[in-house]
Formats: sequence, C-alpha cells, structure tokens
Amino acid sequence: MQLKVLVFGPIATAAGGRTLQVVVAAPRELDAAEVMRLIAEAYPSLRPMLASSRLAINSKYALASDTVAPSDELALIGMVSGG
Amino acid sequence: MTVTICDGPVVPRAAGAVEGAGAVICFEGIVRPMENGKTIEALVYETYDPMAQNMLGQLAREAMETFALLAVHVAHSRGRVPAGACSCRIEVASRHRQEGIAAITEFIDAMKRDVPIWKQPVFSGASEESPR
Repeated sequence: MQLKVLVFGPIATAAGGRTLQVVVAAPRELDAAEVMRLIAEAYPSLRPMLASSRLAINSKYALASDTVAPSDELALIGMVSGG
Repeated sequence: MTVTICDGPVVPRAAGAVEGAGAVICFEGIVRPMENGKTIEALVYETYDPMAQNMLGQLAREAMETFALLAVHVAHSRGRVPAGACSCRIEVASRHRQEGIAAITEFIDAMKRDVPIWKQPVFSGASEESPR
C-alpha cells in the first residue's frame, strides 16, 4: 500500500516536490501517529520540521489516534505563516 | 459573516452599518516594504484549500459566539501581493469596543497558529527565498 501526503511551503521546498510517497509494507490499519513515523523514516531530511508539523486527514487536523483510510486525503501541515 | 480567499491583494470593502453595533473594528495586514534591511517587492501566498477557507470560517464562527459579535468579515490573499498592498483584512462589529478588539487579536493569533497559509518573500534584485 502506498500513501500520498500533500506538502506545502517550506516542507515542499525541502522535499523537492508537492507530494510525499509513503510505502506501507504490509497493508494494515494505520493511525495518524504511525503515518508521521513512516514519513520520518522515508524522509529523514524532513525530521527537523516534523516536530512542528501536524497531519491533516481530509482537510482537518488529525488526532494521533485517528485512523487513516486508503482513500483519505492526507496533508502534512508545517508551521504556517498567514496574515 | 463572510470569509473569502482571493487571488492577489485584498480589495477595500465598503463598511456598512450594522444594527446595534457600537464599534466596527478593522485590521488590515499590509506587506512591509523592508525586512531585515532588504527591500521586499512582494509576498507570494500559498493556501491549502479548502482547509484554509474552512478554518477561517470556523474561527469566524467561534469569534461570533465567544465575543457576541454582530458581524465578522474575513478576507485573505492567495498568490502575489506587492509591497504596500493589503493581504489580509478582518473586520468585526460589536456592541462595545473591548470585545471587538479582543476578538480581532484572538482571531489573528489563531490564524497565524493554525490556518494552512504560507508566504514567500520576493526580495528586490534577489532570487525568491523559501516559503516560511
């Protein structure tokens, strides 16, 4: 199973693209905390930015225990700077 | 209540009368022409839609309820906004000034903490910096 995670702003710049690809070796039920761990494993260069980042599932900030479905839209939201 | 994300600078809005209001308070965020001694030509805003729009709406509804506001109007830019132009406007109407001022302060703090919007400066005579 492969998850796509949208990224923006400084994280997109650091990642060199607008989407992260996370491979899940054995398809299973994932929660948001595990997706964050998989991102850290797949993209070590992003680790310094992950501490201040949150995962959004279908355009809402997720709790660590929120379940991720294969059809969900995932986005990694780093530090924001509106205004 | 209105919430808008528009391409380019936020255009002026004609303030209308709000029945029962004793205060109408408007905050406008303007792109500064200088930052750390460097001349800024523009800021380029990126938004994650529709989450940004939804969260601005949620913050506006919470402000209406928490501060018993009579009206809230929010507008934010996406894309390029030149120095000196408005990139964000928050206008509230309240019965008294204190709750209107408090509402605007709380709204801006929450927006800068939670709403998925990023800006990237374009400096004069220099390449664009990373979004921040």
